[in-house]
Amino acid sequence: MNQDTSLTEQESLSIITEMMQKVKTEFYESGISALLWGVVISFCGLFCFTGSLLNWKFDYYMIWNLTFIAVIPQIWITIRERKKAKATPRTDSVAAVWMVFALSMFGLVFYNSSQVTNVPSSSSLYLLVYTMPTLTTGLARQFKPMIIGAIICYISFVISCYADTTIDMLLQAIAAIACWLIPGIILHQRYKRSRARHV
Amino acid sequence: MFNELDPILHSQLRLAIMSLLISVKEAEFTFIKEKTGATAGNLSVQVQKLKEVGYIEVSKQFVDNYPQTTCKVTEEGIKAFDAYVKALQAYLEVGKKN
Repeated sequence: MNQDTSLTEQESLSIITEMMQKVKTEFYESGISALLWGVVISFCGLFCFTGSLLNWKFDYYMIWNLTFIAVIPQIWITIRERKKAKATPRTDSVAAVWMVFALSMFGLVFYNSSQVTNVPSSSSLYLLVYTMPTLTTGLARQFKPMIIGAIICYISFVISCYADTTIDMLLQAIAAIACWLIPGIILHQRYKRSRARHV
Repeated sequence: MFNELDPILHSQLRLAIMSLLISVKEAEFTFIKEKTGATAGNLSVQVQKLKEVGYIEVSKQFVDNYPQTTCKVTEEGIKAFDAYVKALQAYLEVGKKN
């Protein structure tokens, strides 16, 4: 870009538009992390739900060990993302963190109060944990699919407080699909489109 | 026709830098370089000019033993950019009528 070129009003306008568009597309993440966790958690949840429904004789809950393996590519993704040149979005992510914290505290109080009539399993708490990064990311990046995913996850958490373990596994799969798999696919498609525009 | 436009902003690279910075809270020098496609030397000169007139703030720090330069638009910079865009809109309106 040469700084001394004489500009017309149209050229000025197109520079402003182009640069703002470049910043906008920069905040389209690749969605790989969301896809990774969406696939792993929904697979584990559906696997355990099927195992519980069909009374499989082996320890099908061992499938959750896949989450430990999924941490390895996540570390690689995080390192790769950290190396990229960065800009900080204008949106207030601190406010999003505190809002998620308040909702999580409310969720914990709800979980404890549901123990009076029922004993919810610990997998309900996992659902509450899933909402945290999803809602924070959704609010900070103003990405509606993740906000909707987090709301679905939150509803799943409430249902799971009154459901048995088999249903909990199904809810885990639903939450993972809503929180990460669908938003991940949308993010990845946007990311691919934005990259194609800049080639 | 463009005499009344802010001469600091009415430059291809400086306008590009300000348009980037106006959309974010702050940005690394390498990010601006990547997005504008400018050379490091040219970009440094233009960043310095914008800093001198108070449109941007430049901070330098070490991250993981590497120097990192971060740029941030100031209130004055926002006002100047806003005035520039308004002036540009006025010119475009005149252009449409003619």
